[in-house]
Amino acid sequence: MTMSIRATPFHARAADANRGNLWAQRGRFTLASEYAGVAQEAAAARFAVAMADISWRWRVRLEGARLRELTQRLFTKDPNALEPGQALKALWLADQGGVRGAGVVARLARQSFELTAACEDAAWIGAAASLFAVTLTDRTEEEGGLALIGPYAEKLVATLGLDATLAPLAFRAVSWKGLDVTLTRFGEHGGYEIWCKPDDAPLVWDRVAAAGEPFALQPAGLDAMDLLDLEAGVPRPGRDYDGATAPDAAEPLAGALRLASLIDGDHPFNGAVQAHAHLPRRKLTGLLIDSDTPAPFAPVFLAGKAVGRTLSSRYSPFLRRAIALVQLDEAHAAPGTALSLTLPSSRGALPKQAAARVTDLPFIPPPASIPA
Amino acid sequence: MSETRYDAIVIGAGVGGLAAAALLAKAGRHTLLVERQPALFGTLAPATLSALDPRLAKMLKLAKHGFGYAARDLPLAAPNLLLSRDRHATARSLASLMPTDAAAYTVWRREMLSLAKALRPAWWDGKAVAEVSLKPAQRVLLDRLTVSSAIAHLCARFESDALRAALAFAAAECGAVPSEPGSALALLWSAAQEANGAQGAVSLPKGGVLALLRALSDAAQAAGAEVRTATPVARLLTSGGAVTGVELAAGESIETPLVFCALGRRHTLATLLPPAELGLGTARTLARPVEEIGNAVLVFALSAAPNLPAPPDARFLIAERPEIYESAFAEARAGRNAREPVLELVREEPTRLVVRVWPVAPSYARSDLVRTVTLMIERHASGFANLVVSADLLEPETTAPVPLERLLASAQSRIETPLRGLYMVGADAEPANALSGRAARLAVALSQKARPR
Repeated sequence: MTMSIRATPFHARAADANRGNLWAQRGRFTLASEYAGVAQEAAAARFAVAMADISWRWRVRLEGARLRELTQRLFTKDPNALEPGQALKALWLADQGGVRGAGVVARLARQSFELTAACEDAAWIGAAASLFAVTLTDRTEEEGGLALIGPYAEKLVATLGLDATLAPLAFRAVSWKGLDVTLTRFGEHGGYEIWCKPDDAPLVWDRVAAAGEPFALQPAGLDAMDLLDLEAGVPRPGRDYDGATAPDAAEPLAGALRLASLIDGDHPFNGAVQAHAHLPRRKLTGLLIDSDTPAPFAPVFLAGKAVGRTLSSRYSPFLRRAIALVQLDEAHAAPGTALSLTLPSSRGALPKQAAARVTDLPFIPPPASIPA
Repeated sequence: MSETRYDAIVIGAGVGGLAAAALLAKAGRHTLLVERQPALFGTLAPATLSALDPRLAKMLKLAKHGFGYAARDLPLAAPNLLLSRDRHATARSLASLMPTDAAAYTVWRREMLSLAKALRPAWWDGKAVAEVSLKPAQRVLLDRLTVSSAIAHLCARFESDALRAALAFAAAECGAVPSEPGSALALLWSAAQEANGAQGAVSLPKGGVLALLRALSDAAQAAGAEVRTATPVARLLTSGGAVTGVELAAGESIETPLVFCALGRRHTLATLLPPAELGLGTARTLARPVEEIGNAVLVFALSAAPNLPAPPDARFLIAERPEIYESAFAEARAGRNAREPVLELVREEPTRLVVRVWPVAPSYARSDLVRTVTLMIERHASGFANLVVSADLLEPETTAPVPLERLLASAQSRIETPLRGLYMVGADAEPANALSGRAARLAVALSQKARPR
C-alpha cells in the first residue's frame, strides 16, 4: 500500500496543531489521531469544549421523483414526515435484517434528502436508488465539517455569532460573516457541527480557535472521539461491528447493538423480518475491566464458559481503568455480574487474566450543556 | 379488481405453462392461462424431444389428445460415426474410428445410465442430488462428474475427437457450456431422461414439438382451463409477501392466490414485481447483468431430400472436434455469431430439415447465421444450398448457461419463490434447459401441498 495522505479541508490547520505528528486513516481521509494527548482532549470535551474534524463522514444526497418510496423502503425510520431542516437517525438493513449501516437522514427540501454516515455503503444505497430512479450524489468531498463538543459548545457557537437555538437533529443553512455554512446538531454527544466549503475551512478553523480560547477549546483527534463514543455507549459500524455485506445477511442484529430504538415497526422497510427467533439473544452493555490494558474483541467468560465478547475497548482516564462495549448473552448481562477475560499480551509475555464487571451504558452520562 | 377471480393463473404458453394449466384444471381449479403472443403457439419449433416427463404424459393422457412418437430413439450420426441403440452397429462404427473406444463406450454408457437412473429421485421427484442414496462407486463417479467439464470427462474416457465432440453435445443441448466445470453433470442429467420408455433416448414426436404443444393445450382446455392469447401481463399484485393477483398490460386486474409463471425466474422477479418487493439485496442480485446465450432453430424447406452422409432417421451432428464448443461459446459470449457453430440436423420430413444451432448470442446477426449454417451443411451434403426453398428462423430464446447449482438443487428451490403463491414453471425451473413439463408437475404438487383445497 502506498502511504499517501488524503487531506481533509482542515488538514493544514490540523497539521499545525498535531504536536506528536500522529495520524490515522478514517473513511477516505487522513486525520489526526491525537493532538495533545487523549486524556487532555477528552477532558476538554467533558468539561470545556473540544473541536473535531468530522469531514471524513460519508455524505450522500438523494434526489428524485420516487424519493418517498425509496426512503421508506431503505431506512428503518420514515424520514418523509420530517420538515425541511429536520433529521432523524436510522439504520439500513440487509434483506434478513442484518444491520448494514447507520446514519442521520436530513430533509433538505421536499425532494431532497442527505444521508450522513460513519461508513460508506454506496453500492447498496446506489443499487436501491436506481430501482426507484433516485439519483445518488456523493458530497463527502464537497464540504468540510467541524464538530464542537462539550458543555461550553453552545456558548462558543453564540460567541461565534451564530444562532445557537437549534434543537437536536435539526440543521440550518446560514450566512456567517460572509461564509455560507450549515449548522447541524447530528452528533451523538450533544454538540454542534459547522459544515463549510473546502476553501473556507481554514478560516472556519481559525475563527473557531480564536473564539474558543476563553473556553479552553482543544482540538480533539480520532482517539479522543472514539473514547467519547465508547464512554457514551455508542457503537459504530466499521469500528465496533462490521455492517452486513451479504445481500440477505441476518446479522448483526440491531437489538444486539443497542440500536433497536432506531427501528420503527410501522412502515415496510427492507429487512423488517421477524425471522430472528433462532438467533441467540444478545445484549450490548458495558464492561469495566480491572486493568489498564484495553481488551478489544476478546471473549468474556463466566466460570470458564464464554458468554459473550467485547467490541472496542479503551483506557478511560476518568474511570481510571480500561472499559469496553460488550455483547453478552441476555442471561448474564445484568449490571454487576462478575466476568473474566484474557488481556492481550505483548512481546512474548504470558497472557494475563483480568476480572471485569458488567455495567449499564453509558459509562458516563453526557455533561449538561451550559446555556449561552 | 375485476369481478372475475381464478384459483390459479398461468403466465406463458410454453410446455411448462400449458402443462401447469392442464394439471391445475384437471385438479378442479378454476384456471386461466395468459399468453403474450396472438397465437397459442407459432408454426416453428424444434423437432425432437429428449426430456418430456413421462409421468406428466401419463397424468394428462396426452396420447388421447393426439400425442405420439414418429421415432422413439433417433440414432446420433456425425461424419464417420453412428451411435444407435443397436450395440453392434455402434461398436462397428466406433471400431472403424478408434478400436479402443468401442469397448470404452459400452462401459461408459452402462455406468452413466445406471448412475443417471439412480438419480431420478432427484431430477424426477424433486429431491436435491445430495439427498439421494447411492452406492459408493456411484458416489465417486458423481463427485467426479460434479467437478469436471463434459469435455474433460469425455477426453479422459475416449480417444477419438469425433466421439468426444458427439457425446459433449448432450451437455450443450440442455444449456450447459461443455467446456465449463459441472457440465459433465449435464451429461448425466441428459442420460436420466427417457422417451417412450427408452432411457437416454431422443425421440421425434409425430408432428414435431408443435404436436406436443397442441396436445397439452387440448388437455388443458378439455379440463376446463380458460386461455387468453395476446394478453401480456404488466405486473403481479402482491400483499404481505404473497401473490394476490395479476395486472394485465391492458389495465385489467385479476384476483388469484396462485400464479404459475413460465417466464424466466430473473425476468419475473425483477420486472413483474414492484421494485424491491423481495428485498433490496435480492433486487441488487437480480439486477446484476448475466451473460446469456441460447440456441436457434432454423427450418429449411427443401426441393428434394438432402444428401447427408447419415441414415435418414438419424440426428446428424456437425461438431467435429471438442474444441469447437469452447471457441463457439467464447464467440457467442463476446456477442458475435460463432464462425463455426455446432449444428444438429433432423429430417422431420424428407424435405423439411430442422437445424438447431449452438450457441447464439442475444445480439446475433440473422442473415449471417443462415448463411453460415447453409455453408456448413453444404460441406457435408454437396448441393444442399441449391435445394433450399426457404429458411425460417425461430427467434432464439437466450438464457444464462445452466449453472451447476441448478442441477444439484432441489426442485423446491427452483420452483418456489420468496413470494407465497408464485411458482416458476419455465425452462429455468428445470434442472437443465429442456422441454420437459416436469417443473409444472412438481409446482402443481407443491402448491397443492401448501394450499390444500
